[in-house]
Amino acid sequence: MRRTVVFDSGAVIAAERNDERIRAIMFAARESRTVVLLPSMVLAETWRGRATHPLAAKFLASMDRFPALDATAAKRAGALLTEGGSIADANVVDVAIRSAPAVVVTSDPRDIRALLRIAASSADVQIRNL
Amino acid sequence: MKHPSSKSRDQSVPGPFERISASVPQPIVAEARRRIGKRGLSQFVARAMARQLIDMNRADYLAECEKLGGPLDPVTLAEAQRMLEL
Repeated sequence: MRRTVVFDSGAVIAAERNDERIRAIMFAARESRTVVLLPSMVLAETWRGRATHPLAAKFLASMDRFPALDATAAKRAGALLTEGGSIADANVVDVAIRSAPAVVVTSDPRDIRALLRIAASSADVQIRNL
Repeated sequence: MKHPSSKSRDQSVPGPFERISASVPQPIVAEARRRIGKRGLSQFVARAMARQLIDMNRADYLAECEKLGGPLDPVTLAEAQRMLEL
């Protein structure tokens, strides 16, 4: 069993720049058939239709799933925003908790850590800083 | 019109659905039926196809990355592999 990978928007932007750490994670994920998730709010933040960067588009096509923000998930994410923060980050943390053991790959570890603290979950979620 | 077997469809693989005909080696079909039962073969095939397509997309992405940036640094790769381990 492997850790599920959950990317935030910063990871998509890094992929667009051909960041070697993202490449390595995707290579390792392919090799080990690890599940890679991109929460739907992150997709909304980064997808720009035809204007989407071609490398980012290929990266996004490599995801296993885009967990949806339905009413139940939206309430869970909203409940994490008691001290502020972004809905997309709350969606990332909620997806990671529900997919644990997981690792959140993020350019904003401080905000993700704060949301994990608010969630007060015992789920095994690690943070990988970009 | 609603498909008769829609109740058993895998919600993790979004529709709409299309009926297809495919030839699969008999031992594979027999093993799949033994593992998953009489029902659920469509779901099993849909998941397998989705999984294979994602793997192909991942290969395309990685090939493009290599074309643009050269070979992957083995130290960075080893770090990523460790990160995924439990």
